[in-house]
Amino acid sequence: MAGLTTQESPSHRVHENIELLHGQLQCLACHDRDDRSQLHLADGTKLAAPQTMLLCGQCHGPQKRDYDHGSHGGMTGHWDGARGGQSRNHCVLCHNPHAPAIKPVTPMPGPVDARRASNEH
Amino acid sequence: MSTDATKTTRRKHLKVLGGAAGASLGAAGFLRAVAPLVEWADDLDMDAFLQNHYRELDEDSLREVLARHEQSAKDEYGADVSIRDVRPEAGVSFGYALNLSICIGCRRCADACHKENNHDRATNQSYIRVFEMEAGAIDFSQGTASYDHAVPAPGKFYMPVQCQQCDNPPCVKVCPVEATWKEDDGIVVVDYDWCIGCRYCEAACPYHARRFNWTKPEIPADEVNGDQAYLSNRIRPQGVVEKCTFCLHRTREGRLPACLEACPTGARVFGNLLDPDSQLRWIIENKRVFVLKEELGTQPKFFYFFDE
Repeated sequence: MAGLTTQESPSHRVHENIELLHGQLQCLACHDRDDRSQLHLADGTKLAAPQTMLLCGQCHGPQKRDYDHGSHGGMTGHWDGARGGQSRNHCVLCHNPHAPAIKPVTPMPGPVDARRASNEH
Repeated sequence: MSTDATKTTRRKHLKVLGGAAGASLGAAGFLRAVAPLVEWADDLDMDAFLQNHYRELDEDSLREVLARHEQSAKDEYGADVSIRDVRPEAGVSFGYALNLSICIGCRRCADACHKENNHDRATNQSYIRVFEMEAGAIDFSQGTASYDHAVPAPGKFYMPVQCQQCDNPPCVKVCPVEATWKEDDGIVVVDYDWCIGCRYCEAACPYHARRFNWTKPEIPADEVNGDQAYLSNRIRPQGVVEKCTFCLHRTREGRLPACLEACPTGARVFGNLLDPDSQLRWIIENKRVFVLKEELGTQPKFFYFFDE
């Protein structure tokens, strides 16, 4: 990596916590060579940040298809488009693009046995 | 409408019964005989006792009933609530689909249901039970709803179960007083003021989707969800059965159910089965879809599916 960053540069500190666990992908597969905060598609087209759907969808076709049909990714709002829209999560709201596998989470508390609960009162 | 006639008849009947009993038993005997009624009246007024079935209430009576329940939420829970009567809409038949491939078992849906539907806090009641299942088969005898560790766990999959809103609902058939029925948009509802608490429906449901209020639900005033409907999430009295209504107070106004909005993965999909362009129909037509306990002939409107 010599030549890209040095120990002293601020950009090194920004990146030191990044753990890259995303198949064989390297930084420049998604980040622009000259302007790293800019993302690009495989054909070089530059991308505005909220369009990560297009970027991730280049490889993850089935997920992109499911997303487009409302069966992948959390949403809020309306089922009836005539009465209101939907707010959809895009890929990187849930998946860390550098390590996209979802980590285990602590579940909300489970059910309490009704009889036990009333005895405790 | 037969409403007024019915009410008059029942009132008159009680009066006549009382008069006749008084004459034949003597005053002391009569007082003893009606003592339970008098004691009972402390927590149940005559209007509540004589209230008609939801489907036979005219507009004025319904307004009175809703106002009375709003007042009792204020008196008993200290909460300002608004209870609406939301009816089914023509051309809408609700369905729900759940993606078993991406559900991670986080129970956010069950928790959202708990809050949205004003469930008892002490029992952490919810209309949704999330089962942790052994990968490879749908075998509830190997599943548990009381898991308590980080999810998803290796070798497991997660299966939330709630009311399947059957098109052929066994719970409705067994109700001896017609306190539960299927509405025109497919949602199976309960008139909590008509339910006698016999729990036949709870026993008849093959999905264990109905709950009985063993105690009066306890909810702190500031946690009561005031956006309520008569047939859905108003605070239920002790001694009646309750169930998931697909959040009809939200969904009949075009909104998504609370459990869906809480799902972080997008495993839940809700919509109108009659709309060929809906997200729900795309899933039914393109995914590997099944219904739970299909062999029972209950014809659920709740569909489970897998990705590739």
